[in-house]
Amino acid sequence: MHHMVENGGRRTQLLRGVLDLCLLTVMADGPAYGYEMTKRLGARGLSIVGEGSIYPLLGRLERDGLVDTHRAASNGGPPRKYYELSSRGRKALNQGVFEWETTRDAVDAALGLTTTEVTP
Amino acid sequence: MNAFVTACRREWRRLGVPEAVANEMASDLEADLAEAEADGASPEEVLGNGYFDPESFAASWATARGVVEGTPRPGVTGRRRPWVQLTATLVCAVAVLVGVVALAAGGHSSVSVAGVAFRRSAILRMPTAPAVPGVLVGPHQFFISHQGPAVTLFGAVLFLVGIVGLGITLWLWRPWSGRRRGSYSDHDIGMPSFL
Repeated sequence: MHHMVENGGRRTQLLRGVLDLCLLTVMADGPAYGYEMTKRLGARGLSIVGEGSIYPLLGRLERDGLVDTHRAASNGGPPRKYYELSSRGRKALNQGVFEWETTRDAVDAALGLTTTEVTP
Repeated sequence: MNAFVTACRREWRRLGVPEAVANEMASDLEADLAEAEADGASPEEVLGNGYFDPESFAASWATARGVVEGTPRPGVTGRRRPWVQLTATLVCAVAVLVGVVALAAGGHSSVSVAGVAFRRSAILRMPTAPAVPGVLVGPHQFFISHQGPAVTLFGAVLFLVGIVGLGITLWLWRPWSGRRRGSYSDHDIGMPSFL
């Protein structure tokens, strides 16, 4: 009997591979601090409830030089750390989106979710 | 201060995260949690599953940022460079071989202690030092015209040093010797480890 990944576990695993791309994408809309990015993800329909936090991932992106950071006052609140795409991050985003599309199309085809038109 | 942030601070202190960095992370976290609360959002919406395990959350974040004591910096691996170990192993092996050869050669042409003593007394009676190569030994500084004992001694020292060195380098070659134990691994942080 094959061991199937439970639904929650599969979603987690899928997210694990692409959440960095999602963060880089919402950062492409403009500099944002941690919670602001969570809200942007939510506005795009992606909730992290039941998943891991974005903070360690932001730390990793910063460490890898994919984002630039600066501190600035937020709207009426205390100074926050803002993250924005670096040039290296933009390249990584483009590459990652390409890889995602390629993988997604291949999986869709394997799962029979796309139809291939055959010309007679 | 928020209880979650307090727990994170405690963990960062335990991990040796620099105070300035810990302050920055705590400040951001507290501000985000306060804003989420004002928005009517739950802490879990901000922190995900990390909300239920502040220690792991704090450790993952600090490790991902590379601010935990002992965390390798970007581009620097924690592993020893293999060629250094390989060179050290080869040098030690050569030392052992040379030592064995020297021991064999010295033993083959060695003279007894009594012989050396006889020669010593004979040499001391000589008006000048012998023309043949020798070594300067002992507090009385006399020449031994026969190189056997010196070669044997040299070989024994070289053999012992080589054996000890070889043992150390081979011990370092063990598959688990280059890995850090008891610290957080950050190689899998696409998402935090508790995800």
